[in-house]
Amino acid sequence: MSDVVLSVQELQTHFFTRNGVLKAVDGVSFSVRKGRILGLVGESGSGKSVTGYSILRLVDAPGKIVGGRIVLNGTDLAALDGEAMRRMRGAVVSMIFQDPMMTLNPVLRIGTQMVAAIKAHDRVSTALARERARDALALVGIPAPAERLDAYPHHLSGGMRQRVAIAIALLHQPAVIIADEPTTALDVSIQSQILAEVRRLADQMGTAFVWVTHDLAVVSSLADDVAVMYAGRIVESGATEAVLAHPRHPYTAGLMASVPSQAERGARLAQIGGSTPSLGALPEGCAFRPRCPRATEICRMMPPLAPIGDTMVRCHHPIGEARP
Amino acid sequence: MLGFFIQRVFQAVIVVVVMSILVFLGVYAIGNPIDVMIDPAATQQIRDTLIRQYGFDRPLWEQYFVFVGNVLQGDFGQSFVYRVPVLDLIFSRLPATFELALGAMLIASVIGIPLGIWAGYRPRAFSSKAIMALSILGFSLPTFWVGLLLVMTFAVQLHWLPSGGRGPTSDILGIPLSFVTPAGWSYIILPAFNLALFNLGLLIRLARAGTLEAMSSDYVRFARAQGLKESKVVGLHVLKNIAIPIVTVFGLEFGSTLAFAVVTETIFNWPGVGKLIIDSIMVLDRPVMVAYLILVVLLFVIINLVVDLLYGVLDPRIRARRAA
Repeated sequence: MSDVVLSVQELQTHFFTRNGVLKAVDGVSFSVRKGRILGLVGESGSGKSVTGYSILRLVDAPGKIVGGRIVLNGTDLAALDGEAMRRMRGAVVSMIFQDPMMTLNPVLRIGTQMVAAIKAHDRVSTALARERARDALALVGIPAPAERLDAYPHHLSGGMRQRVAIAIALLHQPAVIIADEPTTALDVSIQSQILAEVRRLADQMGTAFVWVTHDLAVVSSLADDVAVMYAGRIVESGATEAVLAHPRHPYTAGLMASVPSQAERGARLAQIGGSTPSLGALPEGCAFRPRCPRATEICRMMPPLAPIGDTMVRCHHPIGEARP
Repeated sequence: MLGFFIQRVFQAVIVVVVMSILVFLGVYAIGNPIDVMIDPAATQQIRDTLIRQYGFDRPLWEQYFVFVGNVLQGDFGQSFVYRVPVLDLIFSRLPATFELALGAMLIASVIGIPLGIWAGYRPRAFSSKAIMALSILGFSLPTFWVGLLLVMTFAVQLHWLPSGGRGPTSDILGIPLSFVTPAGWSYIILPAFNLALFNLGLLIRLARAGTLEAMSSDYVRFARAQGLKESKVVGLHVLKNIAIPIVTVFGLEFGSTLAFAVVTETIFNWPGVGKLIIDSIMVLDRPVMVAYLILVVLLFVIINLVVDLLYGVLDPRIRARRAA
């Protein structure tokens, strides 16, 4: 396991609001190996995006990383000062965002934005930076990349813009790219093109990805490993095939059952009863307890993340074991 | 673009025609200038002769068309008081006002925009709150009162600067200007600062609002994720985005500063157009009033046109919409 590039250990990101402390991320640990893609899955409010932002230390106030380590190629990002962290962003760890319409500055040319990103880390001439920008656009499959440098974001389609964003994230060949639902805003055919492109880049360049998403279909076609988050904690993690084929945690199983393709035509879609608890009012013990069909008294105590077969599960009554 | 230009010029012509009618009617409503012009002891016969000579016995619409006909030949009439062509009179005073207004706008932008950006960048800092308090003072304190305070402090008490007048000027391209010599500077700095205060307050608030909005946008987050220095994030991504509202207000405010520097010019005895128009209103010097107001309308129309054209330069999306 020496090729682990990113290892997040017991990460805690809390939001200090007027109404108390919201533990958006509360003790999350995972690791990603070179060239591998980790799918970080969960509903809105599960803390998956905040986890992604925390890795780049881009959590806005009142949010704050209060505990844990973020070890990237041997460096603990959580312990770096502001300027040292800036040097890491874009160069060693990079990020792409959900909405490609919003992530590129609408009033600056693509080339201007890319040159600025290159010069943030390398002292090169503008001419050389433009050449590198052009090559990066070509790498992500953008036709006529030289002309695209002079285009403004509104000249490009949504899919093209997301490719540009990926090209920008790749400019300094970072070890890890955090992707926050980057295909959610795209239509399905564009989405599958982008996913294929990302898979190719991960394999060819050895870039590791943390792919934050709520879409299990994306995870199953893209990710090597998956970690399922619920209420700020990982409830199940392991190799994608293992987790999706045999979900152990009742929440993972519920998510799987609610994917439309698994349902019979005309039948009512399965859903998980209840709704995601507010972070301000989490139940004691297992946060999924009030919605869980398998819950018992012992669930009032937080279960540990324990190995079952090939996967790690945080549950007192995992599926596949006899109910008490 | 050409179509857009022609359309705008056409609109401008309509505005100028409508305004000229309003101005003419308004000034006519003030009263008969003959009563002010001649000795109250003059006989009825002299009065009647003069009224006929100036054409005041004709119907209003006829007077208007005579006036328009003259204007189209570049003749705005003669000042009743100074006995010189009105246009010459106004243009002889214009450089003083122009210089004063430009100085005021420069002070307002050079101080106001950076302060506003800082206040938007660090909205919670004490310095930002102090800046906002300053901006409220800037546009709520009456100009004449601040002007008097400035004269009291810097001229009367400290003897640092002269209390009024324009002082020595030097000709550049045949136009007399103050800012060329240090002595000229000492005369212009107080009135320019006084005139700048309102716009200073306005530009601070505008720059702050734009910066606040931009700082929370995805493209700023993405720029940070690329490792851009904060100075670059603000100087490149934020500044270009807040430029549009600032240019709009700068243009309009430059126009109104130029047209309505009346109060400041009166307090500082600045020999500009504002002083001329106040003096002319006092003695009902009708040709000067009409010509001045129509020139102001022209000025605003031209500034608006320039601002509109600048939008296209600043925002590529507006350019695209116009081309379509």
